[in-house]
Amino acid sequence: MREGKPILEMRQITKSFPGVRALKKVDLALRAGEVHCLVGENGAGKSTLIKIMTGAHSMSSGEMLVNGTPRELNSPQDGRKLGIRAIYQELDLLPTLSVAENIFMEDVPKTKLGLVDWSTMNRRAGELLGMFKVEISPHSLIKDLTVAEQQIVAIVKALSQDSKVLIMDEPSAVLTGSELERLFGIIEELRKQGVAIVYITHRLIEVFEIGDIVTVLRDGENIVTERIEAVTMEKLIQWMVGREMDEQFYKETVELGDVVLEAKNLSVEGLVKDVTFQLREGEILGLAGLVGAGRTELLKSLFGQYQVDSGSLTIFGEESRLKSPRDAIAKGLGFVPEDRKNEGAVLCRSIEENISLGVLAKRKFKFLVHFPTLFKTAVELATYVKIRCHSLTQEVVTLSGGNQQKTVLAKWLASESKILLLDEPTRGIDVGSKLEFYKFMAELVRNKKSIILVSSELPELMALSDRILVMSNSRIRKEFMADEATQEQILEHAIPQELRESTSAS
Amino acid sequence: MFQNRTQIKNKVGSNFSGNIVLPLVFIAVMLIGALISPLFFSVQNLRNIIIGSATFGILASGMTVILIAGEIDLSVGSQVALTSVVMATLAPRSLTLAIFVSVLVTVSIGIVNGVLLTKTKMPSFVLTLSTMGIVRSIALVIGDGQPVYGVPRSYASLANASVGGIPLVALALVVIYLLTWFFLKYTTLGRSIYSVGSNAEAARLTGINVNRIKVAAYAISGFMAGLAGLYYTSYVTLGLPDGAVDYETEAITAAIIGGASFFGGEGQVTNTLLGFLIVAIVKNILNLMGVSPFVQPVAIGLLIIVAVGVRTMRKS
Repeated sequence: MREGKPILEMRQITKSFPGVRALKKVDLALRAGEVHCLVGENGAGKSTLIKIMTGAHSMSSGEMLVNGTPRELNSPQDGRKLGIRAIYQELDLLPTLSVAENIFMEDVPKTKLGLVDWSTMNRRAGELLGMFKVEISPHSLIKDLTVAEQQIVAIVKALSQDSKVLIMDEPSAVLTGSELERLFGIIEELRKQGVAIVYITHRLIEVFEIGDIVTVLRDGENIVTERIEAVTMEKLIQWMVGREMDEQFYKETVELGDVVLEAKNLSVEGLVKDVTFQLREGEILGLAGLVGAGRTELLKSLFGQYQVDSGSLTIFGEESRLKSPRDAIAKGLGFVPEDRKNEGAVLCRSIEENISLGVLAKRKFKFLVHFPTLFKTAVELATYVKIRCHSLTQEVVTLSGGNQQKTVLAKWLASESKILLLDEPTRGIDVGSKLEFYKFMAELVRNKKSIILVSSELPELMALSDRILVMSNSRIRKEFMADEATQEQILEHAIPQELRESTSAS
Repeated sequence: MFQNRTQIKNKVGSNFSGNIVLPLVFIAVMLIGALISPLFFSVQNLRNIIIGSATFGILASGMTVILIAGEIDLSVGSQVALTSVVMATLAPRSLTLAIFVSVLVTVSIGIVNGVLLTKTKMPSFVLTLSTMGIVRSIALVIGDGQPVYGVPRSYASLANASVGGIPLVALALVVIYLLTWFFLKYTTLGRSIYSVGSNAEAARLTGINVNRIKVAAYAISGFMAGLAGLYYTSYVTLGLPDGAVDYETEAITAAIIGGASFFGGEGQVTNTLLGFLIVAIVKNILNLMGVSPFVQPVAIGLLIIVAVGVRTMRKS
């Protein structure tokens, strides 16, 4: 089966957008029952390639063969008719409609009269969700679900149809721990059923866990396609960045200064429970935990986004009651949120304007805005954080994930933040940019800034942090010095008690 | 999934209240009416409420469809005026022809709106603001700025006609709302309108022809404007090129009090019906109380702020 004829073969695919060549003569072959991992830095052409595969984009030249016959796909429907489906990174769900309707969006069950058959739809959706052992009601609206739940709905939706080729665009970007294991179980099952799977990921470790074969794209070209057995992590990274990378992480030891932030028995109803910790100048404090453990909520309460119900917060020696992010900013805090696109950057405005927001937040101007100051700050900081762009008037939406993240950071530097709260800052950023980001974090702490870092990638968290606090069920369960902890120890405290009992019982 | 309990509680809470608040407000408004005036529950008064408000009641169902699609149609008031002028001009020759042409005209306006919108990609607010003026102008030119006489008496009496004591137009409203509800809930086109309004790109990726759906939504809006215009002609017994002013805002008011979202993808025509009735009854109560018509918009404004404000505050 492994060496059988490809279900789908792409030959010499080229795609040009106005002014750019996104793909250059890419070859790719997918076989039944094979998990084909597709890796590459942001902008390498992965998304373009899969959009051509599904028919969402047309190719400029090249040909695509499905079961040996050349096919031309003009729309996603054409792709679907041939059993080619994709679960996109930007979930293609309808937020205001129900789970059931989203699952059956393309193939709505109908009565004899051709009308929507709601009862069949809800029942079948319930059955499909049951197969995943998830407790999501078919009647729930998508917008009321968590991102992880939405991802599961997207997968269920793709599986509800007869798929020959299933493309998953970074599913692990939003799933963690047990959810990811469940996904791998499902992929294993699909492999047995003879589905060809394209799995795109930035977490290279997954390539070795789940993949049969890997293709590396760089600058729109297929650099290599190789069976997993013949690949090592070092080689993979080297192919991706096009040069040797002797290091994955970067950390400098900085002498820690005074306590800059201290939380005592901090609680926010239902979100944060009895949290006590200290943060020192020059320190990187890691927060570990599963999705929903309360890490983001803790950051948001430190940033004044959630009102603290009880306990105290001392910032630079002053007891502070933050009523809003505005108070937090005034105290010298900056927050780089997980949801970069909605909460971090103003995508439709320029880099310059985004950075300027930080200056304005600091309220340097009493009445009139002094534009030369704004512009000067923006230029300085954009150069400092090394944003790659044609010009500072470029809209942030046109930047890669890594450069968007740098823009958000530059904004907080503009507001002269001394304590930076980073929530999954490297999610969706490619390997090369990650390293650059780590080096930058090192520079920040060297300059006497302090960082609280939330990351679901344990190796990253362990390599960058000085100390790690493990959270579960809204509480801090354990504190480790980063160099003393192991992944197993951290996970042991990250998994909530009741879940541990239920897994050991089963 | 690790979800904390308050979140789940909030979720259940908001859904529950979302379904129950509107009927409660409706009942409350009825009770207030009864308390304020013994006349409120008289047959004559209830007839007046329906007959006087039916035009924007019909418009509101079409507006709900447009809002669900994530767009807006400001031209419907002008379309009502144009219909009345067309009716008054053509009806003396042939009533059937007049009705046919009227609806054809408004559906065409809807299609033109939809096509311009999808071709130019301009915001629907701006686009229909322009067509609102253009359509109004056409009505004024045809009628030469004057009321147009010529609506046959038999047709003019339809607005006040009853079947077994119930105004004909009340039955018509029930039928229109039932059909719109059925259309939105059970037909593929209806569900596609929700999809397009909810997330147009996702809808496109699942094979929905977004542009065609938007044109269809505008055609429906035009069709409803045509129906509203037919009724309006009978109600005012004339062609009024400068009539039905601000009717589009009243239709929007009813739809948003009923919970339709300006961001698309959300809205129930059954709730719009309640929204429409609430607005109509509040106006009636103000009339019964002898409140000056200059002050009445204040009450409607407050009603919108409270109704929509409570909902959005709950969400955040």
